[in-house]
Amino acid sequence: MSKKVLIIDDDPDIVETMKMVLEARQYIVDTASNGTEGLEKVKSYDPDVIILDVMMDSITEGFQVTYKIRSTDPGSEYAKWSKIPIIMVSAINTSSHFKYSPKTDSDFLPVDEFMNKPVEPETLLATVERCLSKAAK
Amino acid sequence: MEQSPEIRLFELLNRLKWLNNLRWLAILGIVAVIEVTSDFFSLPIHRTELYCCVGIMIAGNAVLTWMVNGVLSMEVECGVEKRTDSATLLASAQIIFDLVMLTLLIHFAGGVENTFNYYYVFHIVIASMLLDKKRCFALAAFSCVMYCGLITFEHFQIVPRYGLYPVLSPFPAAGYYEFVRLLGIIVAFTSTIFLTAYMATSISQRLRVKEKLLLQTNMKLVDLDAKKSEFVMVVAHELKSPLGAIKFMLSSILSGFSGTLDPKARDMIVRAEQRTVNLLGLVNDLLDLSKIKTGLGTKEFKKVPLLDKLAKTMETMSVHSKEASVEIRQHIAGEPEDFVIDGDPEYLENVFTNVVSNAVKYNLKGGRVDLSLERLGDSVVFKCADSGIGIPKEELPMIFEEFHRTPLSKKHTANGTGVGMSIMKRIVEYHNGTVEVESEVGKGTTFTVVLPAVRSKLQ
Repeated sequence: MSKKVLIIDDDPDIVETMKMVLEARQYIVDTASNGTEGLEKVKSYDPDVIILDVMMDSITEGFQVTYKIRSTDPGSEYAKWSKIPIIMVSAINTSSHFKYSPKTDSDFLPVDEFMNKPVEPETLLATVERCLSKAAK
Repeated sequence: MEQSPEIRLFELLNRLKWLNNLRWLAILGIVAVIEVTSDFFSLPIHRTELYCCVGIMIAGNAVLTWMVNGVLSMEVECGVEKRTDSATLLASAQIIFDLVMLTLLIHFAGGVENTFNYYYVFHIVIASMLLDKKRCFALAAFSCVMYCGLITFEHFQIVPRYGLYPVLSPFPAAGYYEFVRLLGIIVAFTSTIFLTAYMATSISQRLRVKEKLLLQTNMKLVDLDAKKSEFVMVVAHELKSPLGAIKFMLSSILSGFSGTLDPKARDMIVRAEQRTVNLLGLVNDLLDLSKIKTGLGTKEFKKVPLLDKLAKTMETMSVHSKEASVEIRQHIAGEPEDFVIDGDPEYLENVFTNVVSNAVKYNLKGGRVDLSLERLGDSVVFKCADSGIGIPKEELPMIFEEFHRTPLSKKHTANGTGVGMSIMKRIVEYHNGTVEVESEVGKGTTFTVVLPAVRSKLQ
């Protein structure tokens, strides 16, 4: 059965290109351009994996979305997706450019994978595949 | 911006405690003086009265110490203002107590004959440290009333005199000159006290103003620093995001995700992609440079195992070196614990990456890069020798300059921003190390980086 991918990113070019690449490999893709819309779509579209940009409307919007989805709060509306694989995309490669380093502080940020911009089509496909096969286990 | 009231209260209470301690010392001093002047100098000291005063001082200091502790342990809920008011009252009480006791001691030890009337000045200086200008001047006035009142009353025999020296001539006869002398003492004393109060309070005031300014400047600096980091972050995002998007789109087209490509179109897209890659490299380098120059992101030093960092660099470079047909070999002379230094792990990795990637880049097909790591005394020495195009002697001092690229290197490859070496040198120097380069055109270049090692071994 084809896997569903949700892309949450405010850059329409990146979103379009990712969609093109993923659909060429038979993934079903839906998109959202900000955190709020993204969270809505998590509930309505029920994806198997989420690709999330770090900086959208605010510098740490990606983090906020992640925390909401991963919330262990018993009343959380995202409880069904709290374990869903999340791939975070960031323009910031090294922690030296960013005081809070997602890469080295991954204990604090519960995402499954990181992709650095610029993304490569092959990297994107490999990362999505990795996440889905891990989740399948 | 005022200094935090909590801090001021805390300082005040600390000073009061110090005053308490000082008073114990003073009491000891007084006892010593009483004994010395009565025994050694055989002056007619009225010990009973004086020791009564000492007793009062001891009891008084005990009470005051207890009161200071009381304010210290006052509930925080009482509020800083109330506690500060209590502390200020206590400070005034302490100084008044001291002034009264000093007056009494002087009264029982000679009155106008007593040579310790200078001690009133100490209390005025202390008042200027603890209290505001108005209170300090009030206490100055109080001191004058106390002392001048005392010697005047003694002069007109309203209060008995406890003389130290035999009276030189019968009292009424010497009356006129004694009176003149009395006036003289009063004028000198009063002016001294008030001038001291004035000077001490203006010094205190200036100090407070400077403290306020310092605090304001510090807050501005912290704010500026935060704004700088934010700026770098935002620039990083604004430049790299669109560039990343462009590269992503071009790569995806080249990989065939958008359908078949006309060879001419393919050729142009390949070149556009390469320009994008170069531009991304430049943005990264500029961000690194700006960050290092402004000292941003400098975290606390940790113990960095260089061997691990070198291994990581080798791994990163393996693809590039294969593509360029350059062989990288490494020589490690020592155990991992020999190569630990105090530093920033990211920065140090950057050093290795810069040096090794240059060694590969400015090399020829089939060339070699020899890396060596050894421990010499208290230093770790890292050498990177390549068999590449080399650097002309006259260019050697300039390769660490920003944006400098030798004509030879430009001919070899268009890639390169000339920023890597200057970043690397700054990082090495930031870690108290040195970097040197030797080179011969056509033969190769050797970089030597020396960094101070951690003396104790890693566990």
